[in-house]
Order: sequence, then structure tokens, then C-alpha cells
Amino acid sequence: MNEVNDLEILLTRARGGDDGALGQLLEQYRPYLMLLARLQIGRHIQGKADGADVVQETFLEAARHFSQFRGGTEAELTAWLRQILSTRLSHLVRHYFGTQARDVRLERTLENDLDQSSRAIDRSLVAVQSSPSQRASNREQAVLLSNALNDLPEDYREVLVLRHLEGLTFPQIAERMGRTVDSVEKLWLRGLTSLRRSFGQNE
Amino acid sequence: MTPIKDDLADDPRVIEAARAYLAELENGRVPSRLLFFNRFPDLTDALAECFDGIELAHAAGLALRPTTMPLQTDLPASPLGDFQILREIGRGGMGIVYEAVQLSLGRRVALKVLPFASALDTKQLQRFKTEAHAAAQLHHTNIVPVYAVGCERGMHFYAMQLIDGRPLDQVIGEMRGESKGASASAPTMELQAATTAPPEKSPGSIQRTSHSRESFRSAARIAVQVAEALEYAHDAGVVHRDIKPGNLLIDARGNVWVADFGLAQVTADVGMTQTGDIFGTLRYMSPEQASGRRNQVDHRTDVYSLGATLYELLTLEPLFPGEDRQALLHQILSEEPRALRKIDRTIPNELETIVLKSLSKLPEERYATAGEMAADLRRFLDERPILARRPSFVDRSRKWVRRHPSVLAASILVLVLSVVGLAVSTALIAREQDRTQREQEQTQKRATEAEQRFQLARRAADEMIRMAEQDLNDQPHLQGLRKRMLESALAYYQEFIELRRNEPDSQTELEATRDRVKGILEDLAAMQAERQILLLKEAVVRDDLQVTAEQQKHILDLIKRVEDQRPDRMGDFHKLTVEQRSHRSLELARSNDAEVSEILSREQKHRLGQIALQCRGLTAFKDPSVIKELSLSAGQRANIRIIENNMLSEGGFQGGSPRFGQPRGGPSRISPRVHERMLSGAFEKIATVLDPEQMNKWHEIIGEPLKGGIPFRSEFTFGPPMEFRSPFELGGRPGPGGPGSGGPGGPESKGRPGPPDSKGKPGPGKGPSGKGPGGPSDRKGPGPGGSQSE
Repeated sequence: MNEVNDLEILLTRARGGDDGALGQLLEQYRPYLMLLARLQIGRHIQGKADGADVVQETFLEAARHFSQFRGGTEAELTAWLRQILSTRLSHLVRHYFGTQARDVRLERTLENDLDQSSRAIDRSLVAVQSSPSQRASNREQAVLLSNALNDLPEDYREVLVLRHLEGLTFPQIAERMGRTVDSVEKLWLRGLTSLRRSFGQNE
Repeated sequence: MTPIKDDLADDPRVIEAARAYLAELENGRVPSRLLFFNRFPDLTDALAECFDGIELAHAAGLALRPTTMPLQTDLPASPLGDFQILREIGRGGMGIVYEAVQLSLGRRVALKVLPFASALDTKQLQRFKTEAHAAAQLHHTNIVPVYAVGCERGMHFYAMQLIDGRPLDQVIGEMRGESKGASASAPTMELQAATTAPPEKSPGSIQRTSHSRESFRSAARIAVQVAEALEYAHDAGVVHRDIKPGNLLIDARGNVWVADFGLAQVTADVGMTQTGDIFGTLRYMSPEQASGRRNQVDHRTDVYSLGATLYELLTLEPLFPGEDRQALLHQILSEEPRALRKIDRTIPNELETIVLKSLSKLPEERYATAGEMAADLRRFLDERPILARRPSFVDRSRKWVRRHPSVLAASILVLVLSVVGLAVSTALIAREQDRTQREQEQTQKRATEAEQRFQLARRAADEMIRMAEQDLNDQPHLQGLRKRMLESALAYYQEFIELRRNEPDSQTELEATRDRVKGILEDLAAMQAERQILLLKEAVVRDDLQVTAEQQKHILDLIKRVEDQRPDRMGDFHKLTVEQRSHRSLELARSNDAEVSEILSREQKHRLGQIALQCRGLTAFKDPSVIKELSLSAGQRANIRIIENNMLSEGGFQGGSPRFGQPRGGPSRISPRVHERMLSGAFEKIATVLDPEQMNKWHEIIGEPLKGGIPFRSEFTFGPPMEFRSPFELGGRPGPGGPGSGGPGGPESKGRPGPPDSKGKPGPGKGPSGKGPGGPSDRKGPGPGGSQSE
């Protein structure tokens, strides 16, 4: 609960021109945007671009145009950020396909993609809540999860992302990470419990 | 909550539970944690934490995973190398296909651009190139030629001949739409008959809605072309690995083109992750492919995939209808496909047989090559009989048995053995008959029937060998069964050699058979060696051998070591392949045997062999050397087998005939008394089978009866071991002991001369083994063969 208040405070201060507060506010969403970027880049132009660049560009855009953001809730903020991200992504994709002209369809599709994913959250997470405080929390679950994932050691995160977000099988993950299936499974287990603990702490 | 310690992650149960839990979630079900907690009560805390983590990770996946298909991007304006893109033709799992112009040659091509290819690292890139090169070498009427492979601006592409046609999945989709809804207008399919269309039918159209004979024949024709293309490619060393309707193009003239050779392997590496992509391919994947066993995938996986495609083409339904990956995977691996004729009764029988054969779960049961499949399809089209056979009783039993491994031992074996016994005898009888002119025809007919049964027996024998090698290898208490099966198979093969020895066209078969026999003999020899060693555990045996104290020490050492070699005691055993396992067993057996030879003197070793024979009871008559020594005729052997079978059905299985659905461990639950009764009757009957000369020889072979009686070994101990009616009591020779003393009211004396038993010796004091009833106390138990120690 405190967190939501914190966010509101940051938001108010950022609107008031406090650049520090704005920076702090946006930073909250870096892991979330990174994950989204990674997944989208993977689909279209895997490996040729770094998610970090796109996310950084997104933040810069967001900071530059922050006065245009009228929302008051986290959901609205993340929606706005996703929009910017999708624009940046579409630039990136076009760059690698060698087109110059702006493709409205591309942007639209990317936007849709990113939007749909967040809508799926509510459906799935209602059943999943494992503690009352999580149920009551008004934070965007996807953001919380991204943050929790981000806090994990890299190996654990990698396995979880590959398995649950990219949907690879264990043998595929093993091959991708250059490890044995056995060791990947163990990383997975340890990652899961770490995720659990990390998430628990973020409440 | 107690934190999960690192070593708990090493507990395979946790991993197993975690994967199962996730599988439930991914299937859209709500897993019951209680079930898991009940199963692993000591892991409750750890599992709870783990499950929480899984729920979170799964939710993250749902929340963050992109849901739509790759988007329609703008076409690259500038040319990709030598190719200028004109328009998009279609998109599939592996990328987008464009129509393009090859600028240097001015011809139109199909350009497939792989969006994921940039993710390939050097190794994968190399593989992509190799595959593309291999595919480019393929020149066949039904294979889409590859023109070029390249990479520009980070995109990998591959140019191939532009085919004016449609992919088969589109065609099927249309047929499906029509056959489901069509009423007034009878849309006709432009599925052209390629070669053999009868002239009176209009060449262009097939009324699929009426499921006419002609449409099935067209389907077969399509499959023939694909199969022949595959055969050519396989010969060139290229396996397609992704045969499916989407990769088969039909052009305006009705020719089929197979596209995308070799790409499947590469893109799989990159990790085609979006649900839609892998999904489409998974449906047509062979079991070995779907389960990720890469090194078991060979050209026969293409045969399977072609079968799956043909299935769908004929029935208009997908082979397995699973909606998500887990369900589909399960169906592919363990469920049998629905019979085609159940979906549509007008589908020709032969086509059903051909399709089902190519869809066998085991590659060795499919067509060995795509060429053979093509040949059978041609036979169907020519209205000649096809070679494929419906699954026989043996096959179906085997499939059934695969699902009920615990019943494996009992019932099937007896039935199969009966078949083998009878079939062989009948074949022999048929051939031994006089070939007078009059009888020749009759004989011929019977010979044909006999031949068919012969083949059936052959398959039964092969199956027994396979079961013995694979299914039974690891089960200590089924070793007796395994031995019995090998011996029966051996008997069959040796008869086969005898019969066919002089037939020229059987020579290669004979060679293979001889090798088989050699293999079996080695296996049997290994088992024999084991048996002998374990015999040495018995004090009576050592007494008979007059073992010195020094020898005794060495023997007991060896025995301890042998027991440590048992598969269930060896940690890494389950990681070996079947071949490695039997290889290792063989080696161990040989070295152990060599050790025994070092410890014992030659005379002692010989005597040990005699005792071993004595202890085998009836199955001694299956030993190849015994058969040779006694010159048992085929007829005699058949009779002995019959006696054995009768014995089994009368006494063996919990007091009745073998029933299906016995609880685990059923068949071995023979009480000594029953066992005893079984055998005494059996030995009497055998006395009627052997002639006096053979009798004498038999007594010579086994030597003096073992002093102190032969211990009855059973994994279920019902008290002190009983003495046993030994084989040397055949034919009235006085033996040292009559009925055993251990059981209440032993079997009545059957008029056998000899002193009433006065020994009453319970045999060496072997109480219940540490494991108690039901546990395998040693590797050999009394298999239904009736030998009590092997």
C-alpha cells in the first residue's frame, strides 16, 4: 500500500518539475519494459538490437514529453510507456527491414501486442494470489513480476524467462545456455523459489 | 517456511513434481497441491514454496508473452542481394515467403526470409548453410529446387523455384469447409489426377463432398509423389524432418512439390517459441522427434509425418486433435490414432493399413524406407494386394502390454508360447508329410497356412526377444521369465535354420538368424553363469562339491560382489542404453564365470553344471546342449512344451488360468506345494515322452542327485524351503527323497518306488530375506517356467 502512495507522491513531484522524482518514477519500470522489449525484439529481429537501447530511448521520450501524460494511476502510466515503447520498437524493426516510410500498421500491431499482454494479467493473477496483501495491492502485477525477475541472479532469470516467457522446452534452454538439461532444471527450481521470495519482499 | 536448501533442488522428486505442476497450469487446469503434498509428505514446505514460484512465473508468462503472430512489416524497399521483393505470398512458421525477382537472371522466384535467423550463432549458421547446401543438391521432379542462400542486412533468406500452386493445408481446409457445409452448389476440387485417370472421367475435377473413390486415389497419388521425393532425398542423406501439409505444394497440373528440406532442424535450434509456430509442426511430428530424442530421429520420421499428412488428407481431420502442446505431446507419444475407417467408412481398407503402419510409434514398425511406402501405395493404386499387414494379435497384445507392464509376465507369455509351439510343430508336420501326387495339393495348401503361422511365430519370437531385452532387462524378479522367452525364441530360430538350410533365397535371412541365435546363446550363457554362482550360495551345493575352507572364502567374496552388481544396486545403470546394459551384463557374467573357474577345480565346475541342470527342473529340456545330447526330436520338444503350458495353466497362477489384470507380482506367487504338485505331474508325463535310451543319457548328464535335495528358492518365502522332487526320479530310479517335508500334507505318493522320505530336512536355513515377501530377494525368481532356481 505504501508503494502506491510512494508512486503518487513521485508522480505529483515529477509533474511539478522535479526531474529527480521523474527519473526515480520511470526507473521503476525499467525491468518491465526491458522484458517486453526483449520479447518483441526476439520476434522480429532477434539479436540485432539491444533491449536496453530501446528502453533507454523510451525513457528519454517519456521524460521529454512527460507533460503530455495526463493519467493518475500506474495502469495508465504503464499504458503510456508501452505506447512509446512500441513506437521505438517499430523504428527499430523498420530499420532492420530497410524501410523508410512509417508504417502505421506496424506501430498499431506492436501496440496491440503490448496491450493485450497486460490485459491477460488480471485474468491469470486473480487465481494466483498467494497472500492477501498481494490481492489488495493496486500495483500493476506485471511490473511487480518484472521487478522481481530483475532482482534474480542472471542465470535464474534467464531460465525463467526462456521457459515461461519465451516458452522454450528444457532441452532447448539447455542448448541455448550451453548447459545440461539437469543443471537447467536445477537452476529453474532455484529460480522459482528465489522468485517467490523476491516477490514476497516487494509487497 | 523453511527455505529450500540447495541440495533439495537436487532431489529428482522435486523436479518431477515441479514439472508436473507446471504442466497442469499450462494445460489450463488448476493443480491440486494436496495431491502432491500427499505424495511427498516430507517435501511439503519446499514444494509449497516451489509451487508459489511456478504460479508467479507462469503468471509472468501469461502477462508478458506476446500473443499475436509476427506482424506484417513493410516490404524491404531495396533489394536483398540479388533479389528484389515484389509482394508477400504467405507466411508460415518459419518466416515469410515473398515473390521476388532474381535480378541477375530476370526470373521470378519464391524468397523465404527467416526472421529469426539473426539469432543464429556461428555453429547454427554453419548448420543452416550445410543444410541449405544439401537441399540444393536435390534434383527431383517433386522437390522444390533451391536456387540461392544469402544474408543481407541481418536477414537470412533462401530462394527457391516459384511454384504456381497451393499448399496442401489450404487445400485440406477448403475441402473441410466444403464437406462440412456444402449443400446446393457442389464445388469441385481441382485435385487433378496426375497419371492414371480413366479417360471417361473429366480430368480436372473431383467431387470431394461425395468422398468418392477417386478422391481417395488422388490422395494416394499425392502421397506416392511425396514418398518418392523423400526416398530420393533420403538416399542423398537428407532428412526433411518437417513434412506436413503446409510444406507440400500442389500445382495446377496436380504435381506435388516438397518444400523446405532441411530447414526444420535449424529453426528448431533457434527456439521457435511462439505458440503458433511450433504448434503447427508438432502435430505431424513423430514421437521420437516430439520427445526431443534427436539422436533417434532418422529418415523414418519423415515416413511418419507423411503418414500423418495422408491421414489428414483422407479423413479431413488432424491426426491428433490436441489443443495445447502438452496434450498434443501426450497424444503423439502414447495414444493410438483413431482408425481412419471409423471416421469415414468409405476409406479403403488398404489405405488405412498403409497409413496406420507408417504411424507406428516405433520406427522399426513403420515402413523401413519411404520407397517401400511408395511401393505399397502404388500397389493400392494398381489394385494389387499391399504388403503391409494389419497389426496382429501379437502387435495388439504388445501394445496392450505396454500399457500394463505388470501383467506382462503372466498371461501374454503363455499365449504367445502356445502359438510358437503349435505353429512350429504344424509347419514341421506339414513339411514332413509324404508328397505323393494326390496329396501334393493338400500339402501345398497346408504348407501355405503353415507358412503363415510360421511367420506369425517368427514375429512372436522376435517380439519375445525384444521384450526380453528391453522390457524385462531391469526387473530382477522376472529374470526367469526372460530366460524362458529367450529359450523359446532360440528354439524357434534353430528350427528355422534347420528347415531353411538348403533354400537359396533364405541365405541372408539365415545369416541374420544365425547371428540372432548366437546373440541369444550368449545371453543364455550369461544367465547360466549367474545361476551357477548363486547356486554356490547354498550350503548343500558346496557340500556336494566338497568345497575347501579356502575356496569357501573366495566364493563368498565373489557372491557378495556379484550381488552388488545387480542393476537396481547400480546407480548409473538406468542411464545406459539397452544395448549397453546387455553388453555390460554379458561382460560381468563372463568375468564372474571366469572367476568361478579359477576358484573351483575342473571337476567341481563340471559338477556345478550338473547341479545347475538338476535344479532347473523342466526347463532343463530347453537347454540347447541338453537337446543336442538327448537328440530330442522336434516332436518331443513340442510335447514337452505342451506339458509345460498345461502345468502353468493348471497350477501356476493363483490357482487358476492366467487372468488379465492381475495385481503386480501375481505370476510369481506360487506356493511351494502347488509348485511341487505341478512338477511331479509334469515329470511323469515327460517320462512318457523320452525313450529309454534318452532316459539313460539324461541320468548320465545330470550325474548323481544332489545330496540333501534341491533347495526350493522363491522370492516369497513361505517358511523354510522345501525339498524338491528332482528330475532323476524319472523312470523309476530310486531317489533320495520323495515329497518335500515343508508343506502341510505333501503331495501323495504316486506309486513311486523309493524309500519314503525320512529326511525331513528343511534345507539350508534360509529364512525370509531382509526384504520380506514381495521384494525381489535375488535376481532370479521362479518364473512361470517352473524352475525354482536358475
